[in-house]
Amino acid sequence: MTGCDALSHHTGARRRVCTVRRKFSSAIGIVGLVLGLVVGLASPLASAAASHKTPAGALITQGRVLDVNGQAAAGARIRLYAEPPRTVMSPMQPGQAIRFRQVGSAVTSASGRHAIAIRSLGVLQAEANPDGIVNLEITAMVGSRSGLFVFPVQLMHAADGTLFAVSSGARRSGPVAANIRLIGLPRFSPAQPAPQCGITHLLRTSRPHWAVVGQTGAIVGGINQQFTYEKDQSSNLGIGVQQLNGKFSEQGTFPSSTNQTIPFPKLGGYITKNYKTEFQYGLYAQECAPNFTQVYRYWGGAQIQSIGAIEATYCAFYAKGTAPIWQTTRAATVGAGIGISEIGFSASAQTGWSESASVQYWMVKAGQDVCGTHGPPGSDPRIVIVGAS
Amino acid sequence: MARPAAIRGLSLSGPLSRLAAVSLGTAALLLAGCSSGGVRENGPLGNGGDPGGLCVPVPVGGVFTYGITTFTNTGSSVAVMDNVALADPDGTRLLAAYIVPITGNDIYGVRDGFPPDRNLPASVDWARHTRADGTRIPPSPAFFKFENLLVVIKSLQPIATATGIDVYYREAGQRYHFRSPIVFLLTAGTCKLNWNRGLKT
Repeated sequence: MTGCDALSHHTGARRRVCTVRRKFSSAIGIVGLVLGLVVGLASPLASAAASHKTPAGALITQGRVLDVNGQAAAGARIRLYAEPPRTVMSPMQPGQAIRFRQVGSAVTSASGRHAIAIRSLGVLQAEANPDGIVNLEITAMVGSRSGLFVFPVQLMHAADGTLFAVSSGARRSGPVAANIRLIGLPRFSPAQPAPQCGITHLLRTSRPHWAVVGQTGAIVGGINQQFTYEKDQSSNLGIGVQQLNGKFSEQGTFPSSTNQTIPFPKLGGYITKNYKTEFQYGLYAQECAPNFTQVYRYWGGAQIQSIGAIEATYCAFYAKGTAPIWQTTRAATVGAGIGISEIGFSASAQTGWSESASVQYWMVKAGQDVCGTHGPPGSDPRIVIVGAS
Repeated sequence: MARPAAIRGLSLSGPLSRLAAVSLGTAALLLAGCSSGGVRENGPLGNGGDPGGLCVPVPVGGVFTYGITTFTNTGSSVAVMDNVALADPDGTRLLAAYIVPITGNDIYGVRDGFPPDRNLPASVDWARHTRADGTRIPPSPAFFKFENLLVVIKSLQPIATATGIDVYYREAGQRYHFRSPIVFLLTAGTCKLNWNRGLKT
């Protein structure tokens, strides 16, 4: 027996984790069972009807579902799950499974569009990490194809106490665009009379891999530079969804926090550096969704890597002796920020969301231009470099 | 040796937490679209930019110009600047505030004394500067045309601080506010601070 049947949604109490004994490799044939299946929901939900009217409540996500050929996927069953917090996910061992809490559902319109609102965001609080971040997962399934997309939101309280959710980057509150490609095969449990959608199995974990969590640089001398990555700082690392050909494609991001401060040293000028620390990835199988891989837990370690000069053209002069600091609320995304060699998956990495990561420069010997890659130093510069390109 | 109150106030439990609280509070208001006393956040001039800090070596009585804050008017009508002020000034005084059009990629930056500095980049159109109060800012015709806010700050004590720049303005009959969330540390010594090590000077 799997024990999974008895799983219940947790409400802050201890969550039961079940051991998996089933084999999944032969389980993908029971496609018809899922069509028309409506899973009982633990919370009041608004679903987007086929007419694509905006549902009542807090609109969390909207987007389109496309089939493997890029055509609109009408009538796809969409499920929105809240992943358990890190305190529940990280202790999982390979072979164990856990049920994600379903918090919304929808069916795509004729044009493949969907929208999901949550009537009360309070339902997400039980799944929130200490920093208020909740990882939401959307699965889409139609016929024998499925897709999956993961994105974080951060729960915050307005001045009047109202709870609201902020999308990635902490700069806007609108719904997250979740465009899903039906690129994978859904999993089913052959022993079950109906799929237990939302039950997620940890198949195996990777060895630790270095992820880029920060960058600094100077193409001039006479300055000092330092990147600081404090305990509980969060980085968004890419999630891979297994495609029909077995390879992984990035479909969203997953925030992962450190549990220690990483002491990157202060450096001089004429260098550009990547700052790295290690994370472990997990390979997960979820019923009614394709396999996916995401951060399993923070590992630790510090590594500094020399890289080529970064072009930055939005500049401001900082006088001799000044020492500016940037808190990386919206740092640049590093395209191949981490590579999971075991499965040939290369994911993006972006540091942000907290004041505990910072870039600092000291104009020791002379005033210098400080330049951003995407905007001037005071307004969304992303990567900040000393010296004009 | 006892440290001056201003320095003690810059420990991690002091202004950083204040900054975080202010930033989060502002963000909460901003993101929730709330208003306070008829003044709304998140208006057509934006949110004041990214949080951060700046240490500047300034002798007591010395003056520097901070010109890092930029914005564009994304509204549909002219925005009128009402007031610019330092947030939580402690030994700092705002002497003047200017709006300068920027015609390229380079902005004013952080420079000693009053503007204009002698070595300004060509894109800082100082000839068209105005005193901030009362400046009329038309809707921006192009995304990369922006305005640079310059504030002239005087240090009144060996360690002087402020936690940001507050800007109030009107557009289409609505009053707005944004705070440029920069913690200022003005020191009569040298800047050796690191926020994450307690802003030691």
